[in-house]
Amino acid sequence: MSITILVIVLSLLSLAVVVAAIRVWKGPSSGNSAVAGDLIFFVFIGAVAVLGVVFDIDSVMDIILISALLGFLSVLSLARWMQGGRR
Amino acid sequence: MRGSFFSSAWSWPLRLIGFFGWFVWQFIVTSLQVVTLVIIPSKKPKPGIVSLRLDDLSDTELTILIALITITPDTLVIAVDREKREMFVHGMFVDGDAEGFRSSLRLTHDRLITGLRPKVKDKEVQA
Amino acid sequence: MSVEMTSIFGSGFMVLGAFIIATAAIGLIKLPDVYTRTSAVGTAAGLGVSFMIIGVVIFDYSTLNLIKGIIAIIAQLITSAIGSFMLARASYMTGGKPVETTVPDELADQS
Repeated sequence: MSITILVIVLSLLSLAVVVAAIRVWKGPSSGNSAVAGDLIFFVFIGAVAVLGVVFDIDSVMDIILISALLGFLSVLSLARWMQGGRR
Repeated sequence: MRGSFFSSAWSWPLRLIGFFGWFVWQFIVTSLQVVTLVIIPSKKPKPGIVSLRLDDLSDTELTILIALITITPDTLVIAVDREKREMFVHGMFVDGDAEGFRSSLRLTHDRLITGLRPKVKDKEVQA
Repeated sequence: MSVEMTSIFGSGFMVLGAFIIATAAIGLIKLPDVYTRTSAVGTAAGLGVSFMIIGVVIFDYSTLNLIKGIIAIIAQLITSAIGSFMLARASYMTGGKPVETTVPDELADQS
């Protein structure tokens, strides 16, 4: 992967993180903040993918697989917390 | 003759693969619709919430249908009433046309039944 | 595939994926209410992350990586759908109103 592509991808991802962090900070309700936090998690998966390819890490696919399997737990617990334990 | 093959259990793998391919295509198209909605500044979302009653689904099929509707980015299930078999679906491009949106959801439901059930009645087969 | 082709295709998928994730973030600012924002994040969760995973699979291709990638994409789609559904449900139950331009709002009419 050339350095130009790396810079393009990482700057797009950082733009996404900054914008989502603004939404987490401002978000009128906790639901908005939780949605933006969800997006930050997907940016994390993307960044792990890019850096894993650049630094030639062998276990990058395992990291992505585990993240994809377990990532929704954070959103699930946030949703439960928003409802105050009611179902 | 043709209709009887497509409603028999022998064609089930074919129908399952066909439904899967159709769903992947639908997923890509709706994702690109949402992306263009966001990047073109003059476009505004025209959302709407529609109720949908589905009496003929088992619990498993209802769960799969909810998951599929939520995976396609332009539609989102907000609330489900499992006793009354009623769900409320939020759509991004409804544009005041509740009936059209509901019939497109019913099309997804028909195709799901065609793909998932080993045996279907002839009238239920969606080409 | 030759090395250049691998590099071009893999980079293309990664740039596309990052671009879709960035548009989802812009959608968080542009779109009016929590339900439409959840839909916008749905594009990043589905297509964006899938493209990044396809890029990784193209860059270091092996059969094991291909299988892991397919499982990761399917798991990502299913879990993100469950997450979006739970979030939308929680937002609705804690009184999050959809924006006024939500034209047929049969949920509000019903209750």
